[in-house]
Amino acid sequence: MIYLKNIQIETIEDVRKALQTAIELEHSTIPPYLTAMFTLFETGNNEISKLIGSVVVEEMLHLSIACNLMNAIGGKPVLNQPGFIPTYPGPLPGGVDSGLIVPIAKFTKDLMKDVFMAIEEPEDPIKIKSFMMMKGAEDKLTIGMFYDKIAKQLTFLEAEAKLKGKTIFTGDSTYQMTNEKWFPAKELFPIKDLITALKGINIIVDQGEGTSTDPFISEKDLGPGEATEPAHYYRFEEIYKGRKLVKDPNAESGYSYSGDPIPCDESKIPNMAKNPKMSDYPVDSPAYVNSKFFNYTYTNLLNSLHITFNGAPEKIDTAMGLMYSLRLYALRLLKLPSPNQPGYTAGPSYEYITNDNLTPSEKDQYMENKVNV
Amino acid sequence: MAYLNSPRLTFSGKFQADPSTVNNDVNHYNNATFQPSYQEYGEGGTNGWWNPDGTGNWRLIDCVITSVTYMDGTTTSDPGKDPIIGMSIMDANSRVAGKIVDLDPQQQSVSQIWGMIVRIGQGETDFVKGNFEPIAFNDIWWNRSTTQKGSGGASASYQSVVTDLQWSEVESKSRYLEELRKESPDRLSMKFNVDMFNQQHDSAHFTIGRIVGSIGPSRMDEPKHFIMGRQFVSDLTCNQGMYMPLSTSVYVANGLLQEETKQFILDLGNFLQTAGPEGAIAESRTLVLAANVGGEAYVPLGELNFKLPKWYENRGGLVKIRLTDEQVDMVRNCPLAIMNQQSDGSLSPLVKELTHYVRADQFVFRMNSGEESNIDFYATYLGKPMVNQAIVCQFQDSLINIMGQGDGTPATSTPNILAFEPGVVTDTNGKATLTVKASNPQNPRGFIDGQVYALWYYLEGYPTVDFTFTIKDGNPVVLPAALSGIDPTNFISILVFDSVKPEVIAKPDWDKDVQPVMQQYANLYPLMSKGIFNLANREVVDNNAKLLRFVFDLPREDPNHMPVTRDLSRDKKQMILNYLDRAIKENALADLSTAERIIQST
Repeated sequence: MIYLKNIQIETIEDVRKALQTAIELEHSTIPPYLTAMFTLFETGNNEISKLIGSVVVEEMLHLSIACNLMNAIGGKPVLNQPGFIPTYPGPLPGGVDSGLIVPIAKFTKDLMKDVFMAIEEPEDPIKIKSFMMMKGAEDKLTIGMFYDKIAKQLTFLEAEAKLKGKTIFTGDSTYQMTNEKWFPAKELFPIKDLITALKGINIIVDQGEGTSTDPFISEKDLGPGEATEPAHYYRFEEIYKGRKLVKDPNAESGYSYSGDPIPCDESKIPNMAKNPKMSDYPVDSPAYVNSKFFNYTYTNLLNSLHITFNGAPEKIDTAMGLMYSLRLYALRLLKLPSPNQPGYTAGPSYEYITNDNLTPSEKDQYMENKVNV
Repeated sequence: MAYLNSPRLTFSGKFQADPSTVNNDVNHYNNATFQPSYQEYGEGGTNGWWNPDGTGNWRLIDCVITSVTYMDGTTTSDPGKDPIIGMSIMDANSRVAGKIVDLDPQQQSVSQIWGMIVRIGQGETDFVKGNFEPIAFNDIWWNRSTTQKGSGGASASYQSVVTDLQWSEVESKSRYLEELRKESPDRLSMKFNVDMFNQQHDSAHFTIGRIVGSIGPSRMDEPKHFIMGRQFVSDLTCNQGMYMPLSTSVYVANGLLQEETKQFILDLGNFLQTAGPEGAIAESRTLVLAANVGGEAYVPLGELNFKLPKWYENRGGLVKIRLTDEQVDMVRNCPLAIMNQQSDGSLSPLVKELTHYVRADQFVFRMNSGEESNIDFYATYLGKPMVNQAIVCQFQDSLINIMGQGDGTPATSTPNILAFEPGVVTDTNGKATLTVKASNPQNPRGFIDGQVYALWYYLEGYPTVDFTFTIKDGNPVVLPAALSGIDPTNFISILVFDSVKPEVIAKPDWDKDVQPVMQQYANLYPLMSKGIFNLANREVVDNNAKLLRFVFDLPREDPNHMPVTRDLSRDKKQMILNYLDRAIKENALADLSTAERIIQST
C-alpha cells in the first residue's frame, strides 16, 4: 500500500500544492503500467493487456481531472519539468518510505502482486481473500485518504469564501480540458464549482480503490448501461489470480475470483532488462538511438500535456498522437538486444531529454572540430 | 534575400528519415497479389526493401549552429561573441515528428517533408519557432561520394520557408537573433543538404544521415524554394537512367551578389564530392570564381575557400568572396564561372553560370478532378528578373519513368487529362503563373489510384541545347547521353487522383468500396497495421471510428494526418469519412472511451 506524507492542507495554496502532488502521483504509475502492457504485445495475452490498458487510461483520466481541478481553483499544473518524472526504480512521488520500490519491468504475475497491487491497494481491501489489515497511521495517508482530505478542504474553503460572497473556483473556464473524442463526458467534464470538483475526485477514488464495500466501480460514476469494472486493485488481482472477479453469494465478502479464466502465457514475453536507462547503452548502439527517440517522444508528450493544461486544451489531440508514437518506439526497443546484457532486450526508460541533447562525447567532438576564423 | 543573404546562420548535425519502404515497388499496391514477404527486409520486389517497419518520421537530430553572419557581412563562429553559436536547430518538442513522404512509387525522387516544426534555441527554450512549409528534395546527386555506394553515397537538397513565426520574449543576448528578427520578422528561409544516409538496418545509425544547412531572412515577394541568384549546373552524363557529373566531378551550386557588403556568397553544399565514411570533402583541385568579361576572357574574383578542416559542417557549405567596387560591377554584369586552376596557374572553366534560368518554385502537386493548381515560375538573367519572357511548359512522358523504380509499368503520364496553356509570360518581377486544371484520369493504373505526370518547362528562345526526352515505340526510354546547361531534376511532378462516383461516396459499402483502400494501407504500412490498428479489419475500423474520423480529417500539413503517405484522394477521403460517420452512429461501442483504444491498439 502506498502511503503519502500527511501534508498540511489548509489554505487554497496548500490545496494547489496537494493537487500538484496528485498530478505527479497519477502520472508516476503510467510508465510502469504501460511498460508491462507493451511487453504483452503479440504474446497471446490480450486479455491481460486489455486489463492493464484500461487502468492506464483511467490514470490518464485521473491526471486530467486533477489538472482540471487545479485550473478551476486558479492553480497552474506543471508537467514539463525534468523532476516531474520519478526515478525508476524508486518510490512514487509524495510517498513516505513504505519500502515499495516501483520498477520499469516486463510483465510478470509477481509484478502484479508485489508492485501494481501494492500501489493500488485500498485502505481496507475487501476481504475477498484474507488480507492483513493496514490502517493509515496519523503521519501518513492512503491515496484515498489524501483525496478525501483535498475534498474536505475544498468544501471548507468554498463555504468560507461563499460567506464573503466569493468563490475559490476562480480559474479561467476556457482552461478546462474536455474532449469526447478521448474521454466520455460523464467521466471528464468541466470543473467549475464544488459539486463538479467533488464529482471529479469521487471518480478518481472510486476507479482507483473502489468503495469500502464494493470492489466494483460505482455505477453512478459510470452512468447507466456501462459495463462495471472492478477498481484498479482488483483488476490487477484478477490478473494475478487468473480469474475474473464476480459476485459470489457463497463467499464471505460476497465476491470471489471464480469468474472466467484470464489465461496467462509468459513464454513469449520479451525478456526486458529491468529499469533500462539510456546511459546503459553504448552511444553507437541501435538501443541507444531508439531509446533516445523514445525519450524525445516521451518528453514531447509531457510538454504537450503541459501546454494542454495551461490554456490550450485542444492540444490534447497532439498529445494523443504522441501516445501512438511512444508505443511504436517501445515495441521497437523490446525487439532490440540490450547491449552488454546477453539474453535481455532493451526497453523504454522514460527520461526527460530535450532534442538538442548531445552526448558528452558528441559535444567534445563538436568543440574540438570547431574552426574559428 | 533568402538564406544566402544577411543575417544568416549555418548549422550541421544529423537527420532521421524513416519511411516505410513496402511501397517502394508499385506492384506492392496490388492487393490481389500482395505477399507477406513484401513486409520483410530485403532488396527487390519480392521483399519490402530497406525499411518495411518505417514510421514515416522525419527529424532533426543534434543540429548545432556553427556560425552566424551579421548584416554587415562579418561572420563569427565564436560562442563568446554570439551565444547563439553552439545552440541548436530543433524540430517539435510538443508534438510528433514531421513526416517524410514519397509522391508515388513511380516518382520517388521528390520525397517531401510534411509537418516539421523548426525551433532555434536550446533545450526547451526556443527564441523563435515556426512551420517548415512542405517541400520535396531537389537536385539528387546519386554518386556524390567517391567511396560510399547507394543512398549512403548520394546527396540532395531541400529549400523552403519557415512560416507563422513565434518569437520568444526571452532575452537571447544574441546580436544575430536581434538582427534576424528586425530583418525578417514574419518568415525565414531555410536550406539544407542531406547525405551520408544509412540504410543498414542493424546499424545504430540506421535511417540517420548528415544534414548541413543555412537559415536566413525571407522576403514575402521572393520564391520560397530556390534562390533568385546565380545558378551553376555541371555538365551531366546519363548513366543507367541517372544523370551524374562524370566529366566534372562537381554538381550544382548557386550564388548571390550582396552589393551592400561587397560580397559574393556561393552555396557549394551540393557541389563538391565527398569520400570516406565520415563524408569528408574530397575536392583537391583549386577552384576559383571568375567573371567572363567577353569571349573566352575570364577575370578571377577569388578562390573558393572550402579546404579548411570541417569547413562543410562549420560553414554550412557556403563560401564568401570579398569584392572590390570594380569586381561588384563585373559580377553584376558578366556571366560567372567556377574555374579549375591548373598547376601552372592557368584557369579553365569547370562549370559556367546558367545565365538564362527558369525555375518552378513549388514543383510537386497532388490534384483531384476539377481542381486547379497554380505553378509559379521565375525567370532570371544573371540573377535579375527577366521581364516579358515567355516560358514554355509541356508534358514530358519519360521523366517520370526514369525517376521511379521498376520497369515503367503500369504506364505513367496517360491519359492526358491536365489542361494548361502552353506558355506564360513573366511580369516585371520575372514571375509568371501557370494554372493547371485536372480532370478524372479514370484509373489508368488499375490497382493504384490515379496517375502521375511530369511537366517540363524552359525559356522560349533560350534553348541552350537541343534537349528532348523520348520514348521509342513505347519502350525503352531513350534519354540524351549528355546534358549541358540543363538541370534534369527541374521538372514538375503532379499526381492526379481518380474520381469516385457520388453515390459511392455518399453510401460506401465496406467490402466493395472501403476495405480495398484500407487493405492497401494495411499492406503498405505494416508498422501501423501490426502495431496500432489493422485498418483492413472492419471490426477494428468500426470500433475506432471516432478516432479514425479525426485523423483522416486532419489537414495534410498535420503530422498526425492519416494516411501517413498522404496519397488519399479527396473523393476516397470523403467516402471513408462518410463510412466512419455511419459506423459511429450505428456502433454503440464507439461511445466508449477512445483513449482506451489508443492504449490498447489492434
